[in-house]
Amino acid sequence: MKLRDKLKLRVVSLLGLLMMSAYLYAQPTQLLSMNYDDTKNKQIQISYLLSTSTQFNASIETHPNRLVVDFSDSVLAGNFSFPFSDYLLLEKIHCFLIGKNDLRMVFYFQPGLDLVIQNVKKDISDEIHLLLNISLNQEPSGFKQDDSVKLSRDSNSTAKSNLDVESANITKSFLSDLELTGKISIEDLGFIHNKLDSRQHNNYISGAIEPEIYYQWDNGKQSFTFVPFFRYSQHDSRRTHFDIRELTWLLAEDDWELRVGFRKVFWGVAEGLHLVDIINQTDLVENNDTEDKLGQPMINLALIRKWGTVDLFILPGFRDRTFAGVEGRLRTFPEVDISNAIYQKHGIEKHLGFAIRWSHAIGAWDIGVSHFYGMGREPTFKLNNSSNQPIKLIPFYQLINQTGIDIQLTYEEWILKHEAIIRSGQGKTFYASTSGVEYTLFDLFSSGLDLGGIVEYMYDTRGINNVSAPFQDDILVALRFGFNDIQSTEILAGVLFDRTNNTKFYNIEASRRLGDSFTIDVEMRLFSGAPATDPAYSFREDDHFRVELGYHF
Amino acid sequence: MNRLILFTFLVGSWGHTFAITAEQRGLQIIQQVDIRDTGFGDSESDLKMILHNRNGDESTRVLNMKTLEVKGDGDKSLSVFSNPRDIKGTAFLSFTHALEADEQWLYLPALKRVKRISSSNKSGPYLGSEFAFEDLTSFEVQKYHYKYLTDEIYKNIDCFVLELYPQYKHSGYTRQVVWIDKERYIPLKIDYYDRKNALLKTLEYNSYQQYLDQYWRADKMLMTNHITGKNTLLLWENYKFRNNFTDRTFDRNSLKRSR
Repeated sequence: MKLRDKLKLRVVSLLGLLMMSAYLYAQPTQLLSMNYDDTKNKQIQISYLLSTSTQFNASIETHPNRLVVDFSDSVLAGNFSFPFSDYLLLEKIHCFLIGKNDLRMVFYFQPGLDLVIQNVKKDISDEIHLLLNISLNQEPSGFKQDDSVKLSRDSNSTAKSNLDVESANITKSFLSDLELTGKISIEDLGFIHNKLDSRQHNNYISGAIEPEIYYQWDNGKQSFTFVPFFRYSQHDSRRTHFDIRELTWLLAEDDWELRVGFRKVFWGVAEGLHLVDIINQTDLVENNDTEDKLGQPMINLALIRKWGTVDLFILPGFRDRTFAGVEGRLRTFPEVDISNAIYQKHGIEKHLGFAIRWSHAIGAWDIGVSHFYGMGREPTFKLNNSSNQPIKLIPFYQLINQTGIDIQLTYEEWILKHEAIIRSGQGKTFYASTSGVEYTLFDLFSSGLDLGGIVEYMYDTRGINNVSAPFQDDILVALRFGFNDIQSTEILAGVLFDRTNNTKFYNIEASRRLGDSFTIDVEMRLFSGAPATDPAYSFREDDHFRVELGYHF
Repeated sequence: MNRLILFTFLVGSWGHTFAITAEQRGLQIIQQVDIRDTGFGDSESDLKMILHNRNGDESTRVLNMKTLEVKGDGDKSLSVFSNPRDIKGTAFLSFTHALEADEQWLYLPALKRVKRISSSNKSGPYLGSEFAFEDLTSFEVQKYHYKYLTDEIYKNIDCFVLELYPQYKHSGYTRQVVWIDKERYIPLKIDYYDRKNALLKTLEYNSYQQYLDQYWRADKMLMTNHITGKNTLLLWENYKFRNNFTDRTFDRNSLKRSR
C-alpha cells in the first residue's frame, strides 16, 4: 500500500469516527425515571434521572394551577406511572413533545394552591440528577383519588401552539382510558325472483349501528365492555331489532378468569355448520347463515391449568331465536309465530342453563370437549291447532343435554377438523357430526394470493324425514381467496349440496376495505332443487344478494 | 469408492484444522449477534406500519406487539391490531420454534373465535405490506445456513457482510445478504433475493436505540420492493422491557381478551 493510500484510509476512518460521535451526540437525552413526593409539609419535591445532561426550564402557571417543566432534546425512556401522592395535590401529568424534539411535562395541581418554585438543583457530580423543590403557601386538603388520572405520553404531536397540544392531549388521555369504537352500516337486501306472499317485498334497505364502549383498569386485569346493537329495517318489523351483544365485566387473574354479563362465546372448528357452538341463541333475522348471535347473560369462570382450560358457565335467562316476520323474505311457509312459542319447562328450569368445557392445545392438535344442560337453542316446530286461525309454525323449545367434541389438526398447509354432538331431550337421542379438510396454497405463484379449498361432510342420525335436521347427509365444497392486498380483499365461494335429495345452496361472499374506515361486503345466495319435503323449499324464490357498506370508527 | 470417500474426508478435515471456513465465520458472527440479544426477557412496543404504493398513496396499520423470550426455543409473540378500524381487536398469537413448525392462532373479535392457522405461510405478505411473514418472525440461529462474504463500510459503519440461506420450508428467498455492524453486532441492511435469485427487496434499519444498556432496537425499518416500487415503513414506539410477562400472557385465553 502506498503512503498516500494509507493517509487516505486514515482520513476516511477519522471521518467515520467523527460521524459516529456526531451520531452519538445527536442521541436525545432520555428521561429514565421520575420521583414525586408531596408527603413533606408544605413542600413538593420532584426528582429526575436523565441519561445525559441537558438544558431545562421550570415555571409555574395558573388557570389551571400547573408546573411546566421543559427538557430540550429529550425523550421519555423509563417506565413512568402516576406517582403516589399523600395529599393528592396532583391531579394529572401530561407529557408531550414540543417543537421537534423538546419534551414538556405539565403537572396539574389542585385549584387553590399557591405554588412557588423554591429551587432547582442539578447534581454537580454528574449533572444527570435533577431536583425541583416547590413550596406551598397553603395547607393542602386531601381529596379522593381519581383512577382515570394517568400519565399520558404522546411523542408524535408537534406543537402549533402549546395550548393546542395540551387540549389535544387531554382528549387523548381520556380516550386512552375509555375507548369508543364501533360500526355503522347500511345494507341492501335484494331478491332476484318475485315474492311468494303479497305481504313480502323484493328489496329491503336497512341500517345498523353497533358501538363498543370499553374501559380497562387495574393494569388491564379488569375491564368493562358494552356493545349495544340496533338495526332498523325499511320493511319487516321483526328485523328492526335491538340487542345487547355485550355488557361484560372481566377479571383476569393468573390462573383464572371471571366474566359476568351479556356475552358471545364461540366453540368449534368447522366452517359450514357449527354443531358444538351452543351457548348463544342465533339471531337468525340478521342473516340466515346463523353466524350472528344474541348476547347471552352468563357467569363464566375459566380455570387455567397446565393440562388445559376448564370453562364453567351459569347461563341465566333463556333467549328465543329471532325469525323473519310476515313481511320478510327467507322465511318459512307457514310463517313462524314467535309470540306463541311453547316451552317444555317454565320458570327457573326454562331460564337457567349450565355448561362446562375443557379445551387444550397439544402439539398440532386443538381439542375441546363440552357439555350443555338447559333449554335447547334450536326449536322444533309444531302447527297451531286452533281451527279459526291461519296455520302457523309454533317454535317449541325443550330441555336438552348436549355433549360435544371438537378437534382440529393443523399440519403444514392441511387442516383436518371434526365436530360431533350427542343431544338428548328433543325426542329420540341423536348424534350429528361434521368433518372436513382444508388445504391452502399460500402465496400462489409469489403473487401474495392464498387459495384455500374446503370440503366438509355433515351427518345427522335424525335422517332425511326430520325437518329439524336439514344437514343429515350434506357436503360443502368451497374455495377461499385471500388476496392479501392493502384492502384485505377476500372471496369465499361454495356450494352445499344434499346427497339424498339433491338440494343445492350456492353461496358467494366477498369483502374488501375502502380507504381506511369503510368496508364493503357482498353476498349472493342461491337455492336450487329443493323438493317440497325439504325445509329449504320455503326459500325456493329467495335467491338474493346483499350489499353492506360499513363505516368503522 | 470407499477409499475415495475416506480420502476426501481426510483431506477435508485436514483443511479444517488450518483455517476457518467462510461458513464457520458466518455462523460465529451470527452466534455473536444472537448472544448479545439474549436475556432481554420480554418486551412490548407499539408498531405503526406505513404502506406506500408507487403513486405515493399511503395506508397505515397500527398494532401492539408483546414478545417473550423463550430460552432454548423460539420466542412467543402476541400482536393486537388497532388500525384499520375494521380489524381492530384482531389478535395474532405465535410460538416460534427453531426446528419444528411454528404454532399460530388468530382471534377474530366479530365471531369471538380463536382459530389455529397454518404456519406454512412464510412468503406471503403480512397485512398487505412489503414484509413477508418470515421477515417478521423471531430470529433463530438454526433457521439459516451462513456464509461470511467480506467486510464493508456501510453508512460509515464498519460491517461484516454475510449471506443467509433459509433452511425452513416455503421460504420466498434463495438467500439474504446482511450487513452487520462490527461493533454492536446488529443488522443495518438486508438484501432479499427471490426464488429466482433476483434482488427482490431491501430492508434498512434506522435510528437504533439501546435499552437496558445492552439491547439494540431500530426505531425505523424501511422495506423497499425493487420490483413493484412499493415500500413499507415500520415505526416502533414505546419500547418497554422486563414487563414480567409469563407464558400466561401468551396463551389462548389472553388472546381472547387482548386489546
